Amino acid sequence: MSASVLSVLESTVLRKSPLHRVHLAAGGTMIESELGEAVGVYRSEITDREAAAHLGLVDLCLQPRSGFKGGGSSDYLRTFSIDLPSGPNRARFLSEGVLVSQLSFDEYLLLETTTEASNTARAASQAWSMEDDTRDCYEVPRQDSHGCLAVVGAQAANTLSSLISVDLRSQHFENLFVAQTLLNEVSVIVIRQDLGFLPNFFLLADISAMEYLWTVLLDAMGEDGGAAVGLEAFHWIQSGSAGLS
Amino acid sequence: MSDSRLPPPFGLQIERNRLVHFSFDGHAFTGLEGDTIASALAANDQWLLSRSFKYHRPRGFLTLAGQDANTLVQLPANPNALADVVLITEGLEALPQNFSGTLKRDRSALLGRFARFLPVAFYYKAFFRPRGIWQLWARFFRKRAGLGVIDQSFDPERFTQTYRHCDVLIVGGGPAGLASSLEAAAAGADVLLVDENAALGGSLNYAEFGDPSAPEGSRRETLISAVEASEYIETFTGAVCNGWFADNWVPVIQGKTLIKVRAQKVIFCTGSLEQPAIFRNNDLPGIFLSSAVLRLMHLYGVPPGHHGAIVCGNWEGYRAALALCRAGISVVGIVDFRPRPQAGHPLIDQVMDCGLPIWFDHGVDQAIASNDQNHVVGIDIGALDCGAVDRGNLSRLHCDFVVMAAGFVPTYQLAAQAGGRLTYDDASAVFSIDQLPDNCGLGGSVNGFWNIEDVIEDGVRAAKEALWEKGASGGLESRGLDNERINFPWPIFAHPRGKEFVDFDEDLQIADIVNATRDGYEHIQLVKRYSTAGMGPSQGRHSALTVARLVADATGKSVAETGVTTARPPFAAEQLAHTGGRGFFLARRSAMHHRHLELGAVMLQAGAWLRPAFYGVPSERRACIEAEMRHVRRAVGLIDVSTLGGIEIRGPDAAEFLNRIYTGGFKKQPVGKARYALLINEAGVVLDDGVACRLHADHYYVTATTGGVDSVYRSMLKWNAQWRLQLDIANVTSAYCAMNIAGPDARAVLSRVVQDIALDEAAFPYMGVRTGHLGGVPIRLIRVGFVGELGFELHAPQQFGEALWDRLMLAGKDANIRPFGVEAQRGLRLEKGHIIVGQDTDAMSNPFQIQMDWALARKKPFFVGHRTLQELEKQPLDRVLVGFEIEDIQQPIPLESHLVLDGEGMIGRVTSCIASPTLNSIIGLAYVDADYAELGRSLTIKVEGGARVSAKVVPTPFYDPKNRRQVMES
Repeated sequence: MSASVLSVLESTVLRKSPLHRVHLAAGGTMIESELGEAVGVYRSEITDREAAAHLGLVDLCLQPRSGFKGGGSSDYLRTFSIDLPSGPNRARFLSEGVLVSQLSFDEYLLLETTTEASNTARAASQAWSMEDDTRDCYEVPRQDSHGCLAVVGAQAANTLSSLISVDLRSQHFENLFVAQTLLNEVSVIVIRQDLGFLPNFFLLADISAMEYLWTVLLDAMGEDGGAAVGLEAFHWIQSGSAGLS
Repeated sequence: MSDSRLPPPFGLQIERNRLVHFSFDGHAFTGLEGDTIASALAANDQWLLSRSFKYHRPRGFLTLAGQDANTLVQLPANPNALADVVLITEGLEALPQNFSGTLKRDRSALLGRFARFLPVAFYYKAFFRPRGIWQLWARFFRKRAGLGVIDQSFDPERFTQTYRHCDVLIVGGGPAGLASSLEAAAAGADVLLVDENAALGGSLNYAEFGDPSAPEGSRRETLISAVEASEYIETFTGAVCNGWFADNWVPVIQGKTLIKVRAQKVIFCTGSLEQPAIFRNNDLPGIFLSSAVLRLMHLYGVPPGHHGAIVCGNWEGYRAALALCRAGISVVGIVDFRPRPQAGHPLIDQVMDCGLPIWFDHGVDQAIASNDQNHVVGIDIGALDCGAVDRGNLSRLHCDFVVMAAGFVPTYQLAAQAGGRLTYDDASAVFSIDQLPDNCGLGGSVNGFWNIEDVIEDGVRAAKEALWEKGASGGLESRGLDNERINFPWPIFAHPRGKEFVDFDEDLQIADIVNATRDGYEHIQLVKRYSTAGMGPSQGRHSALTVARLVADATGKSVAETGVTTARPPFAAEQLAHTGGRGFFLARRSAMHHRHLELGAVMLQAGAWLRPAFYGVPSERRACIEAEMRHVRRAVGLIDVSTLGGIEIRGPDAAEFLNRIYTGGFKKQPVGKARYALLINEAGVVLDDGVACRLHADHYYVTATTGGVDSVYRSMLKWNAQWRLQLDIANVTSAYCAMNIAGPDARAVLSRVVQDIALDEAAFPYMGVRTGHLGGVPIRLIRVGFVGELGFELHAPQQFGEALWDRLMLAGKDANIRPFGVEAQRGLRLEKGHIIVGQDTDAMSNPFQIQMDWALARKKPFFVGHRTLQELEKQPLDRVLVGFEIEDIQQPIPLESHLVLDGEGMIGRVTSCIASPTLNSIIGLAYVDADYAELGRSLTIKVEGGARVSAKVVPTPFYDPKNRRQVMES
């Protein structure tokens, strides 16, 4: 076996989004980070940003996330100084860029949403072990069981209303509300976290259905002039640079 | 051509300066923008639109509102389009339906002469006697069945679905609906107003309310302008509410979109459906409902003819007559079924002022057809004697159109689906609706109000009730001109020669309904099914009341006692594409999916997953599969098994839980070991299997079958909801990719990439479980051998799947590692005699039948299904899953479910079978009656084409019975 092969075999393996090939086929420009290889820009920075402000679909599958459930999960998360949401199907956005969603009375989902986010989700996951299962808290492998997308932009609620039966009108589905529902036969967790005045919905669903969901969402978004956008545009919106906050 | 149109204000919906060219029945026509096919044809003096379903009678249009089957026409991509709904567009090509020869001269119209040989329920009767006769008739009728033609070459169009939530959904954009919407919006409600017509306004657009002081035009404009200006009201026009479902779930179809509306409150302002009078030849083209004539004139500016006769049992006929006179159209007279009112009536005075004759207390004996039978040219009328026409003294009125005004039925269908009760008042001869649920309301004529001011006020009341004042405002007193009676109780005039049509869709006559009751079908629901009344495209909109009246009369009951049939959704015809929506097919993909495609995989669907069946060319399927099998046996292969279910059982009671849920023993299972896990239900039926890996004293990682994992997970949750053991159950199927490296060289390949797990036989024996790393990624490694060779199953976080696959393929390059697919895996496992739950088991299979009683821990005090198995064990086996072999590999290969025979008697069926490249024979598994299960017994299997092949019962495993291959030393 050659030295080059051996060096490959000994190197560290990187994560890949389940949409990796989709992005490549669509001409996305990939960027590598410690999280893996993600799509940075789809068409051009300006076009992506315009699309994101109107209606953009973002692949956030590599974004760190973790989950915990069990009667002791609240106490466990508090040991990481995490402020928990007010109740089930509500979320709280922590100042360090972590979105904490409560999925039931004793189940939580942590999503690091920004590039500058603290590693709270990862830290809570790494600190957990089977050695202390008397605390009744169990880690759920959300990083790999679920993919994560964002539908962002002025038309986001309109588009999702064509796919999700939940009442997404802003007075009924407010900022930091959570819904667990179906999108074209696939179970999804929908978390609303508006970015300034722009509606933004995180969608978490079975990772094996990500390519299907991506196609379904892009198809529906086409009716409202939406498009896939890269991480750069999403972070630009998040940073408030779009002037909409 | 617009010269023939009536001048404005007639023609509300047409653009007089915009011509539209189209064709019908191959002839070119010109209409105006805003015309429907039917109105444009009428403007061109083309009144014949279609032929009736059964007798091929000529038909024009009855309602001009899309409520009758007479106007069904064929469009290029769409049969059974409603000509009185579909707007003409430039170049549109429409064709008539259901005729032989030409529309004007339909050869099949001869059928009408044989009507007496086609009695009610002819189809049902023909099934019975004389015996076998149906086979003769069926050939004839099947050729004639159905309306229209589907263009199978048509490219599917895009249909979509969407959801819409609102505070108040108002169905119907007429005066009540408009007023109701405004009232609800004024209270700040988010209102959705839906109307099936192209424009809002409903009856305000065409009806004659007889109030000169308040012209309907200004009332309409005021209401519509206010609705359009309201930011709280969204309107959908050309949109049909096609049903009502629980919790105010209402499907609305608009064009190619299905809108799934969920409303907190629904107000039905659906108006009323006018009903025809029943007399001989009442179906001739040129005979209209009064509302149709008013629509034709007011909406499209088309005169219905030159000389009209009015037949009526209410004042609507008079109002229509006055409108016709105002339009300059001759009216030959009014035939009023009622006696002359002693107190007189303003409408009588107005009509007489116009010089129109009125025949009170008269009925219609028959309508007279033109020579070509395609249009009405007159009616014979006579005095009524106890409701029947005195045929001894008939008069003929010559006319080229007839207007019928006999009464109305509320458009009750949606309200009835919502739980409303439809009741009939025999005294006033009208229906009313009550008992609606609290989240629904009624407004306008559907609620029994006819005077326009009452209608509007009732719409307002409905909105108030829905929003704040439920039950507070009570009902309204009608402010009609004289509490007018809207329905004539018996507008039915039987004729000795029949052809008085009750149901135009199905060509049912008075005698058909009466005879149905005489045949013993007296209940209205039975009459419907026996006669098919109300089962055509218009769903009884114009026949339900008449049928109820006829049945009531024939059975000696009141109409109230008789009732009407159930109105189920859909309200109007909908296309399958509406329910299909956007065309997507759910497919789950593993992390290695694209790699498989690049490697030339032919994919198959396994549950919701896509999996590689084999790698290679489809035309060389068998060779590819056999090559993959041989390679695994001789070298090393890699298969993606990510679709296998994965369930984490964690907590202090994890071992106890497994001990209860599975048949085997798990409490003493060492950490680092895997055990086979068989799951059965309370009835002892095999549900699933997998391996349970003990990763920690309180942590098991359990695999399940691809198709079974969800039900296994549900079953686990269900049981622990009862047991309340301290643990957590998590379905982590998607969180882990998995691949199995198998073959004599598997260990050598794996050792090149896994450094922190000792892989030798002593350190990592068969059924061992280890955790470690590969390329820095945490992995779980299981020594299992489903394919009967040395093998390792690697489970790792899903998003590393493709990279890990690549790593293993690279590590195995020197060993000539090859991917193998599901088909090869199934063959390899069969050689090893392993069953696949779901393929080799069915809904009756228990562990004894499949010879897996070795997987039962009989000493355990309890496991799910234990008690049943104890009983089953006492009974003789009825069937057994056995291995069989056909030594001559050139014989036809039995397929799954091929029968095992003894003589001509079935004694079992095949569940799995392959031509084994390893054993050079055909091997398989089959259920056989227990008497045939002994080793060496000959079996006969009936294969494709009915051929028989001989097989022999043999022991399993077929391959490597001493399991030496899967425990190979390093």
